[in-house]
Amino acid sequence: MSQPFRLNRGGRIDRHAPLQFTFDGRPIDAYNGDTVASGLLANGVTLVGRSFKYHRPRGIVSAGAEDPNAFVQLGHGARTLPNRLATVTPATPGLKVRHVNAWPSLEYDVMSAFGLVAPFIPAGFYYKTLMWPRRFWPLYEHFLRHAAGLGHAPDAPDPDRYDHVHAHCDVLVVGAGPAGLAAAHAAAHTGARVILADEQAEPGGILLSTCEHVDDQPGPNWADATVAKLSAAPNVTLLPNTTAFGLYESNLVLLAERLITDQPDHAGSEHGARIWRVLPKQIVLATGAHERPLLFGNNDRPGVMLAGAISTYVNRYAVAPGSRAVLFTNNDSAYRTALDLTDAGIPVAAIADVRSDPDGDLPSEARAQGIPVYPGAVVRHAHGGRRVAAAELCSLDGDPLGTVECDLLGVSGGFAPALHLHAQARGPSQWDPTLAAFAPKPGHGIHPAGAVAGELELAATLRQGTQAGATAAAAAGYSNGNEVEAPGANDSTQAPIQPYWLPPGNLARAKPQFVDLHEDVTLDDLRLSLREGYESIEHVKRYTTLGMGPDQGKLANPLATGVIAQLLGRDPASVGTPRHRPAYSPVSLGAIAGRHIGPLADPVRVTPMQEWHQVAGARFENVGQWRRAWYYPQPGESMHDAVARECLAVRRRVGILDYSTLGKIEVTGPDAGEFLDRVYTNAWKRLRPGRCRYGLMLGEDGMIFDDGVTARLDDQRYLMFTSTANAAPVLAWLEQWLQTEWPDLRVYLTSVSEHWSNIALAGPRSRDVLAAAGTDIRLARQDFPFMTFREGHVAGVPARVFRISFSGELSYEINVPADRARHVWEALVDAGRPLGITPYGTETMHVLRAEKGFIIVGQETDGSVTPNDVGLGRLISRRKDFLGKRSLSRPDSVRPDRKQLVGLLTDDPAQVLPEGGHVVDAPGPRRPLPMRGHVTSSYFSPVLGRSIALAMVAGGRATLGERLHVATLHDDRWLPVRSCNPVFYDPQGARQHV
Amino acid sequence: MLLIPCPWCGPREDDEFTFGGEADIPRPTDPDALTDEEWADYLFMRDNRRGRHREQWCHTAGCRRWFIVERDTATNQILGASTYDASP
Amino acid sequence: MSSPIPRRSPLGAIHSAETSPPAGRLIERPFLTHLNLRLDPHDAEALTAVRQIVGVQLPRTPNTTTVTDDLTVAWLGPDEWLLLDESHQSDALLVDLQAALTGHFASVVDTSAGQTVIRLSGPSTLDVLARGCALDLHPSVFPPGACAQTLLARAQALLIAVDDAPTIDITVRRSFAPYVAAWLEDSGRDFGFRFPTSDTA
Repeated sequence: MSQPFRLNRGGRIDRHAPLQFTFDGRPIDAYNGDTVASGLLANGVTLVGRSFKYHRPRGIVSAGAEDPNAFVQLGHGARTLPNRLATVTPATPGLKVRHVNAWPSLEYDVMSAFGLVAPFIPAGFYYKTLMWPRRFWPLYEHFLRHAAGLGHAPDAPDPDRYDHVHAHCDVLVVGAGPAGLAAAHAAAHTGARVILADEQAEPGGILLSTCEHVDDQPGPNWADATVAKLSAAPNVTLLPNTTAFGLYESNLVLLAERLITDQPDHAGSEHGARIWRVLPKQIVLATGAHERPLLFGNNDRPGVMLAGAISTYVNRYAVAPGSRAVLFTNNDSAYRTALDLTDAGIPVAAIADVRSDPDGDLPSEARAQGIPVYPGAVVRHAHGGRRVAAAELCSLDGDPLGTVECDLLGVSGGFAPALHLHAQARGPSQWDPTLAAFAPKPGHGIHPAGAVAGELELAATLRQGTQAGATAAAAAGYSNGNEVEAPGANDSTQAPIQPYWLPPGNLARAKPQFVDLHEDVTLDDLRLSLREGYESIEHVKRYTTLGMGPDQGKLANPLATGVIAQLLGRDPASVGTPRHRPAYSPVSLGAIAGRHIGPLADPVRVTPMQEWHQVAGARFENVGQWRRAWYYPQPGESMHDAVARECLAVRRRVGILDYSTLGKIEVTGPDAGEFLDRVYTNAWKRLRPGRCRYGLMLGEDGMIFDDGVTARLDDQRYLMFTSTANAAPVLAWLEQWLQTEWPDLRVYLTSVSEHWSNIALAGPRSRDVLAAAGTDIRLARQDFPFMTFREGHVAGVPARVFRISFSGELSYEINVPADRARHVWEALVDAGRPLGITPYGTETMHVLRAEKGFIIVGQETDGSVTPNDVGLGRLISRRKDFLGKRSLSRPDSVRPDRKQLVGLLTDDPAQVLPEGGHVVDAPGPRRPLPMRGHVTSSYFSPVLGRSIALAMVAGGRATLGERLHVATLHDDRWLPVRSCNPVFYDPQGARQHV
Repeated sequence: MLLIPCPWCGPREDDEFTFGGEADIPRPTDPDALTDEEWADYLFMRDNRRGRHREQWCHTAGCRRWFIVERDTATNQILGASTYDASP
Repeated sequence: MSSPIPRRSPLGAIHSAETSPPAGRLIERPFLTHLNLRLDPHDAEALTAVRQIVGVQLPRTPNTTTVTDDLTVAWLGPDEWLLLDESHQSDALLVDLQAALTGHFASVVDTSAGQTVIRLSGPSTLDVLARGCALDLHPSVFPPGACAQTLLARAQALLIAVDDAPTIDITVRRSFAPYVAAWLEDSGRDFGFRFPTSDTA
């Protein structure tokens, strides 16, 4: 018979919508409205996993997000999701569910032999045992990883959708149980913008699990009606299937919404996730409470469940989680479960109540129904292997009270508020003795309501929710005078809870008693931790791994607080609880990445000539976010060939380079010259309009920060070029000095990096190309000398042309508005074709500048290099102060053995040194060898027909011609080199002046 | 996430801003007159205070203005923000 | 200095040919004149000179704009504004402003070719933007006439609320435009947004 444990009546399942999913390949019949867990229970499947460390059989414990056992793998292939809880996953047609953490199979787990051979691996076992011998670590690691598997990652790119949304609201209500629904209703009534999020597919919370009435109608009906009202309100966003998993500074709340598809073949199943980043003005926390488990021997056997969860399965899902029950409690709530079970026709064989005289309304009713109640009694331990078979009862003094057969053992140790979000916001909490748990103190713009605030009565919860909603809305600036009335419900009287943490006396020594089921942390582990001196709750956590599973210790931590307090003889309030950290429930990596993947992972910035480069067959390299043409191979050419051809074309004829990525800043105002004097090492005020100058910018520590050419456009305007990578940092740095230190200087800075594209023509024929392309600028040497600039037109487009050179050749850098740069580029290429113009990329640019010994900031420099270190001491003005000047006379800045820029020539001219290679005086047996420096740039120079390299070598300039050695990176070889002047080509600089 | 109150644009998320270190460290007017120790003190020494801390922030992705934030370094609570015009 | 050379917008190359569905429109507004204006807000004479040329006061309230028929002035900072001119007489406006501000501590810089405007319009506009913009763009907070410089996904952007369609103009730097457009297309897919052919490509 299908679904043998399905009750004949009741529940919120749709009996007209049967469906089938599979568990480890076995078909499971269920109904729409079931979770995977309720579907499994309806079919009598109680064993859902193996425990993390001992691989003990484990079953479903709860009906919600707090479950430590019910982690399963959903789906398969690219769509698979590990570590999802069966208790909150809706059952959908065709869903494939698999167990995790058992090998080779759930029924016959090899690792459970661990449990037989060495019954208990104490806390700290790995630290103490597996540290020796050290060489076995890889083996241990492999073994442990295999043993501790927690599901599988997808084996192909995830095809599902992951989305991020920013949201703002006046009131965020977390949890759509009675308190949350009442709060959302009250807040929405004021006109405030409200977001209501609930982790379950169906709002209603506890109302769906009990038989209580609200406003004289069954609780679920009231919930449905309230949800309908909220859905219709334009100022309310209702988010089911959405877990608020983190609350951060500034009250930022992150929600993970499971995206449920409506495609017919996958209807109702998860297809991705959406992260909501909510910045609410006020937060109503209506997250409820988690029922606390109780300690007894073998308290981890499948069939041991939280009492409240049993009620949920019976009432909400019409499932009998067992056929004969025993309940173990220290408070009244388990009696409600007993009555629910009796109503459903499931016999309750015994209720063991820690309290000596349970006499509230519910216990009286249970007794009246003929349920055997054992006052002052506890469960000593559970019998059974893969399923609980009986409960052994005894008195608090240890006197046996008999063994009661059962296949379901419901436990209730009271309720601990789910204050995780409040605690993540560092909200204060206090020990509530009537709950025997921590409850949040209100404040911080967070309004707790209902069970999370310690309120377990329905009528009071509804009043509190209504009040919290109205108060939160008012605090956000909304109150319209006519407040809504709180929904009504019957109050019942409950007898107080009697805290029960440790089995008394020798009971504690029975079978293993699990505090944390997911992490397999036992009572003995806690004792060991305390015995070894780890008494702080945070130390206990780290020593035993208490609460460190994906369930975040939702059940374990509140229990551990009481247990540790009793073991230490201290007040639980002083023991505290381990810090609550996000995420409350597991969040998939896909959800965290959102749509920032693939081409949208990071902006790709391109210049106006990008398409041209592509058509020309360029290979590209990433320079920060920029995609720049690297080299342009012709058919059959290697990179080496292409770069050699490009280099020689520039040296012999003419090349063209897209250098649009350079930073460009207009510096305007009467004090512009003075400002440049303060930020550059050299002098600027007397630079004449129309002229250019190379400048070095230092940090206040005297180290090179950026370099580049600046031109004086007119009396009060300069145009500063920065390196590509430093375009934004330089502007921010300049603004910082202007705004914070020198507000008296009348200077404005405006970035024009993107307005002006920059096309570099370089090579002896570049003047001819520029003339042929058509320009109204007079190009003759005497009219337009080196280090000047002219304004005019090039190819019909307004242009600023700079006669500056980064190649050492005759060169023009042509700035034109970016929206017409492509036209100018093509005009120059067309005009240059008869002269053999060759487009060149960044690699050739690097080779050409290295041949000239020109530094690149960030390649030759690394934030620890002064101008003098790279041979640019001549750019340091003696006659003025500038940023970083004082640091240049610090003792460390004038050490003679500082690393200095030198050239390196290999003995073998074909050998290209590895960049980053260590420079040493001579190889020798002593290791490590004293390091002399490192290679910063290294290329094959086509024009010189040999390799060249730049290096930073300690005291290098004083010892040119010296024999040095460079280490290769991958084999143990030393390449002999000689140091030399870093200018390899045209040391007189004649070529750029022609 | 810190919500930083730009004195011009109002509260914005912290990824719109650049941190500029401790505030109220004026550049010496005559660096050459300082000893190496005094200069090093200006360059490198910061209070790293626990509690109220005045620090510089720039609204990089917004109005590009530098301003001063007062923040409690123990709680990360922001106690106020002011423009350079308004600061003493 | 007007030039016969045809201009290219940064998004001219990636327009698809689909027509815009009713859910929303997403178009580039290329070739507007973008002028960056800096001046001392206490310089009354300079403020008057600018108003006489552009026909409207410079907005002094942060994150607001002032608008004429073919010109929008957006507040960028206490002494910084962006002038967005649709009249296609960029050089004239630049030259006039520079002339009028001679002798004042002021700066007028043409950034027209360095940035572009992407316009989103339609009922889902705010839903699309919420995918990557952390600001509250609800009309009660960000009504027509408001502007804000912020981050849109991973690019800096200036948002201007144009009308209550709602229509939002997004000004981005040229090199970021393809990324922003691709991002908007991706985010707007669920809402039926498409990038139509620009009439001025």
